[in-house]
Amino acid sequence: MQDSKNLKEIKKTNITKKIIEDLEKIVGDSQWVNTDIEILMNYSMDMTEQVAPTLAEVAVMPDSTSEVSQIMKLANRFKIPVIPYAAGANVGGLTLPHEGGIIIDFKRMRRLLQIDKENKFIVVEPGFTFGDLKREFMSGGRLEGFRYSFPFAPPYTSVLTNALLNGLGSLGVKYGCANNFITGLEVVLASGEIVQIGQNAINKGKYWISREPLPDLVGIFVATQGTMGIVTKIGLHLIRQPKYTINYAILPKSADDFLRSWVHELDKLNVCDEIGCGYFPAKIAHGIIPDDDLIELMGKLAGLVRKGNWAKLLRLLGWPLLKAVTFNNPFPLIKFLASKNLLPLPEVGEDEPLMISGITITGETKNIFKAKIKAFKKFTRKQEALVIRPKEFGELAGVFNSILDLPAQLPAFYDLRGGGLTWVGSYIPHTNVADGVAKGHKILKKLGFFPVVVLRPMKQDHYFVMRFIIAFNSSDQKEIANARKAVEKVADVVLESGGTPYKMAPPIAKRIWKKADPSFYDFIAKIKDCVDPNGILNPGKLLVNGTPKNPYKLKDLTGNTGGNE
Amino acid sequence: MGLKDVKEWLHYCGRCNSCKYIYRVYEPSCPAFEKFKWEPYTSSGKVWIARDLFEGKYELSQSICDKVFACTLCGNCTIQCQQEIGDHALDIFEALREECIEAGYTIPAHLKFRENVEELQNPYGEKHDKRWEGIDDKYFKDSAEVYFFVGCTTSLRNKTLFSNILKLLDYLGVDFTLARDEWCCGSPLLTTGQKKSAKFLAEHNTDLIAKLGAKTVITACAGCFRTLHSQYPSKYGLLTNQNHFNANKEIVEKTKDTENEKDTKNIRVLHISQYLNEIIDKKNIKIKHPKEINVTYHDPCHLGRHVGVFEEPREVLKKLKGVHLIEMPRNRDNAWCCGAGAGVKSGFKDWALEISEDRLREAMQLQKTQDINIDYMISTCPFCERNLSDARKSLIDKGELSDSSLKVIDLVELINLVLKQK
Ligand SMILES: Cc1cc2nc3c(=O)[nH]c(=O)nc-3n(C[C@H](O)[C@H](O)[C@H](O)COP(=O)(O)OP(=O)(O)OC[C@H]3O[C@@H](n4cnc5c(N)ncnc54)[C@H](O)[C@@H]3O)c2cc1C
Ligand code: SF4
Ligand code: SF4
Repeated sequence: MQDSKNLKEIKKTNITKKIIEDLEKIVGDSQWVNTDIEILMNYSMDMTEQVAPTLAEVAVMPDSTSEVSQIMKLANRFKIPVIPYAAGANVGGLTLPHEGGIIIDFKRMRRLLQIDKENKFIVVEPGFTFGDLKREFMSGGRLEGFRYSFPFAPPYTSVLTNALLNGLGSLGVKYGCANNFITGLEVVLASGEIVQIGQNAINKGKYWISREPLPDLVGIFVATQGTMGIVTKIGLHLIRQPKYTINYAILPKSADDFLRSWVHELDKLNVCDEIGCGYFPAKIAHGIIPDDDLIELMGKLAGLVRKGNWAKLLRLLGWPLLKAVTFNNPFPLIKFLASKNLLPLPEVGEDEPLMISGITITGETKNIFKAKIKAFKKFTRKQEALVIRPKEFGELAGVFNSILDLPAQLPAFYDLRGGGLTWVGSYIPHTNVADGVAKGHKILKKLGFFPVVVLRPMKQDHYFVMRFIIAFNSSDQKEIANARKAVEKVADVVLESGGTPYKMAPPIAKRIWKKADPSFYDFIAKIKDCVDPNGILNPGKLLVNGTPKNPYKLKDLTGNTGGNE
Repeated sequence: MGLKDVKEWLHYCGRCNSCKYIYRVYEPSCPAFEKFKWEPYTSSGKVWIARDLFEGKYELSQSICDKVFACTLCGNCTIQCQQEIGDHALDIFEALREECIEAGYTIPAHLKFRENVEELQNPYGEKHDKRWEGIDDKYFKDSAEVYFFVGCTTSLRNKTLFSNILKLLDYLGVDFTLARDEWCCGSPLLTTGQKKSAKFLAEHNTDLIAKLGAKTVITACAGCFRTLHSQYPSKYGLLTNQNHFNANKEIVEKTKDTENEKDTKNIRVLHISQYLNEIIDKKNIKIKHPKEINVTYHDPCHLGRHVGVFEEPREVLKKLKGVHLIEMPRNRDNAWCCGAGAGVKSGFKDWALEISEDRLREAMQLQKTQDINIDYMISTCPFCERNLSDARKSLIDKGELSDSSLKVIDLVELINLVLKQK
């Protein structure tokens, strides 16, 4: 525990020593209640570095729903803000304690509580992570034979928060965003009351099979960023893992054509379980350093084959053979052929963004599987693109695996030089993606950022994910300021393109509400006043103008009041 | 080294949290985090503390010191981190430790090390002569090809291992000597932020090695090995030119010339597992265990992750006919730490034991899933062996483990067992 001198310095709310003692009693051990400055600092900022750090006054790690409920009762009585926290990895500052208060950190509530393989659901606590889930899916795990929609997020992030935040994941093209997997919730309200939502409320928690056919109150807690209640249990659908799986990487010659037309055609085929794509640094694809002599030799060889037949020949050879004839180093050949316009490889310099798409095809029987692959191949043959099986692709395999084998373990293209990472993610009409990407690229380039973009068709291509990722040097004030500017400008592009940013940080929320029909905001604010009349849950997030009962003025990113525009 | 020496890297952690898991295996990697759960116990947490301190956001305190020293410096997080910061995190942790000591924040047991080492040249507070009690005079020669650097733990806390090593070296016909004047290698001070206080030890021991005229120094302690082999060169410019890799997988360069350096720069420092691996082949020695046994191998952090010696102990095990090596899921650079290192055993006794219990549980789980009995857990470090043995006893007392499996012994002891039963 930190001494009282430090505590006084950061005091903002009604937290007294007595309240801290009460918290210790609730969780049963003082080691799970902490006021040390170095612990509180950890919750005061995240990798986005978009907000001047603000300190919570105390952090607590409960072990059960009942403890969470008692904490809420205490906080509500003294009107102390409470911020629920899983790993703080939302990349939007959504767990920052703008008004001080209590952080509830869920590291101790990390259990996989229920498994029902027949009915294909699990129930987990907020601290249960994607890494934990992945381990259960792996050989020998309790959930072997199933799968789930994994985000591109690191393994230590929470499955529960991802579902509540409308997370986008690997199975997005089939099932939409992660809230579609939620079957039921257990929620602790600001008052400390515990509420069950979904069929689990009817059958005493035995079958968390779905939220239908009941009034769908799950929605109150989805995308509301911990402002409506604290979810202590979540039921989630599992998806069966088919017997056969194959991954392909597609490098379209024209990214624009890909986005405007043929990714939608690909979706129409209905053979892909996963379609993800994005712009990454081209150096990934150039991967292996070309050996000049080899290039020359290949050049001579190239002269022997008629233009246009190379792509066919390469396909016929297949990658293993190609690798063998190129001494395990097919890249110089590919590059050379592309440079002579003999291969449909995108023409981008090493420092430019390159579009790579990863797709997954599965099948329960060999015949279905083969038929799907055949349809996919027939389709891609007509397109100008390099289609490869990453597994057979030497050093590239590692890169593709980190794209396809989720959760991601921060692959090289996030290149955290300087530790700063922020983004604007959005859901956008697919008709507007290509233009949105082009506009966003322009802004990022102008502000000196490499334009990394993640894109995904969602829910059978009904809409698209478009996420601009901005990695910056957090020790450089100018870069921090530029990153802020980029976030705001790109958010405007998204809104102009008919999309809506997701997991929005408060300054982006402000922009959204400015555009939104006022009735929408007012309705949410009324609900908030009902479920959290003292406005203690995660203040400053989402409802940045407050509610009728608890008006709020959003602070500037840099810590001044009065908004950020 | 203080924070200013690592300032370049303080902004390189993006808090992605990936270092808390074994890469792609999704098993826990950080003992300190699994136990204490608060972020500052993790790699990223400590990097961010360093950054905040360097930027003057708050000041050092005893509570920060407690968190910084609860880390075993096992280095597992640095392997799992896929970012550049992974290569510099251990330096940052060490710099934080040094800053704590400079500012007067310490763990009392670590200060005691220093007092003991300064007065008696060993961290245990034992009289120097006790090291050699019961050791035949014939082992102390004026010079020899090979110098066996015994180390404080083996000579003062594990005489059984000590005599086993002597016996094995005799059996193998090695021309070696011990040195009465051997002092602590300095590892307990180096890992607890007291680098400055360890300098006189490094200089003394290097002098000693020069005087003996040995061409090869062998040690059976992973801590002594890392210190002589990697840290004398990198921190003091002594015993340079070792054929080894540091945590960055780069060869450590000779850092500075010293008087002693002239005589010692071409001396090889080897861990006994490396030496045995060479000599068993060279002398074409065949060792066969009369009955089939299963063993598993625990990689000491100082030997494996810190220097890169993973394969030699395994190769020796494979040379022992009838001995079957069964790997734990977390092995080599993913190995779960034994919990004893970097002053954790002396500073946080119970929790050091808990980490070792988890290591044994990993092997117990393996017995269960593969439906086998693992006779021995093999270690190549007396300090790991000690902590793992304590944990084994604790698990037997708790009724979790039966007395007939997972006996913790050193690789040398296993070989001697095999020899005895031949
Ligand atoms: C490199 C990187 C890549 C990422 N890629 C993706 C991606 O591809 N797709 C994707 O969807 N996400 C992605 N993410 C975002 C993120 O990691 C996850 O979506 C995750 O769910 C949120 O992070 P978290 O678990 O740390 O939750 P936190 O950040 O701790 O919390 C998120 C929100 O949930 C609230 N909250 C926490 N606990 C509770 C609770 N018990 N009840 C109610 N509210 C609660 C918090 O107050 C906050 O508002 C990525 C993140 C990183 C760092
Ligand atoms: S140390 Fe590496 S893996 Fe750990 S949080 Fe920082 S960047 Fe991520
Ligand atoms: S060195 Fe080991 S104990 Fe220390 S932070 Fe890294 S993994 Fe954790």
